Amino acid sequence: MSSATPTKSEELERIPRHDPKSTPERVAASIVRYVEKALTEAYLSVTPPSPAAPVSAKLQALRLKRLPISRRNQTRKRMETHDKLLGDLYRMHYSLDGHAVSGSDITPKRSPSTNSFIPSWPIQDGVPYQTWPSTIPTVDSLETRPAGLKLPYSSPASSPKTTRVLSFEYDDRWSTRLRDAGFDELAKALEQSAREFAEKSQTFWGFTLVEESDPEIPSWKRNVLRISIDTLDFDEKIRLWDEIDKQIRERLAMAANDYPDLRQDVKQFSESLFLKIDL
Amino acid sequence: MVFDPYSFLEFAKEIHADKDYRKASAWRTIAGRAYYASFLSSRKKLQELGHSFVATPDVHKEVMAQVKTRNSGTANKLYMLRDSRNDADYNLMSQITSDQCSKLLKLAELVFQEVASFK
Repeated sequence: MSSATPTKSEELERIPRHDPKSTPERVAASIVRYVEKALTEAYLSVTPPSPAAPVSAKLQALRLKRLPISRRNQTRKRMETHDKLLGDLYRMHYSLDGHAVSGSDITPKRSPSTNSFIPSWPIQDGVPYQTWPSTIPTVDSLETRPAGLKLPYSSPASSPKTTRVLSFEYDDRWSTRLRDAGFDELAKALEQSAREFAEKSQTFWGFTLVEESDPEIPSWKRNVLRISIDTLDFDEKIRLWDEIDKQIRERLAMAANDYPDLRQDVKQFSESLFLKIDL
Repeated sequence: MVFDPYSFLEFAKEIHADKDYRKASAWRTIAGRAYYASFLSSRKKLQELGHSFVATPDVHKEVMAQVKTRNSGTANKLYMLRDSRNDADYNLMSQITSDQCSKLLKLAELVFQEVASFK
């Protein structure tokens, strides 16, 4: 290091001199903010690699089946680690890009105040108007994110800055089911059609696929796609709700034709599927 | 005289509009009546179209399934009404508001309209 370039510790030591009246806590908070900003900028300058195209992913899965069991397990583990890392990179990139409160990092639950599935909602330009937990993404908020992130089945049609789909989540039961190739295909068809519909709309969307049961008929299990949109108009919500339902069911019917082995699974899934919108 | 399920919806609307009943128990009652009005009208229409239903709790599931075969959008609405009713009747922690009730009433109206067009 040349004498003309001060070390980071020398720079840090100089900070209090600029404002001698500052308390150590205030100086520390300023440093933290500076580091967070620098890290965010550095991270956003790097584009994560694209996830495998659906066809490549399918081929990869088929090739995996042909491997001897020990090698298959080893390869599967490696692929899962890779997928998880890639998912984390996308999630972090997306979160740092102004979508920190998209709901993606939150276990979906109704907000007691609004009875909404998502506690707060970004406004049209993608900038949150409520702070949960903060409008500024922090390293802490990323570190506390629960594990188990799933990669999106399809990349957003547009860049993360303009995507209409703020989150697409699966509950724990569905996250476990996705390890099964059949359920994976069903979820893929569902998620892709929902995303396609949402991207063509003029509103922001949040999706969560969950399994629900009935307090009076516990054996009646339903797969429910919970939808949140930022449209306030009741009639418009109803229109979008009906249309997305139609598109998803058409896509599921196509999936049944594309994968005859899954026809029965698709039928059962469609019968148990309901779409619920946050009115 | 046969009871008209729409009477439940009218009653729910009356409670919603009544200034003497602006309280949580009223909102929960409205959620319940909105669902039952919609459920009973759906069952009645399906029966008129030749379906028969057993008198067990499963009838809710069966009506929902039959509605779905005709219009999945209507089934979603009916499902949402049932979910709200379950919430209102079983979940003491849930917050059911007047605003939510006005939306449930509109939803129930839509179910009535859509079910009426079933052939």
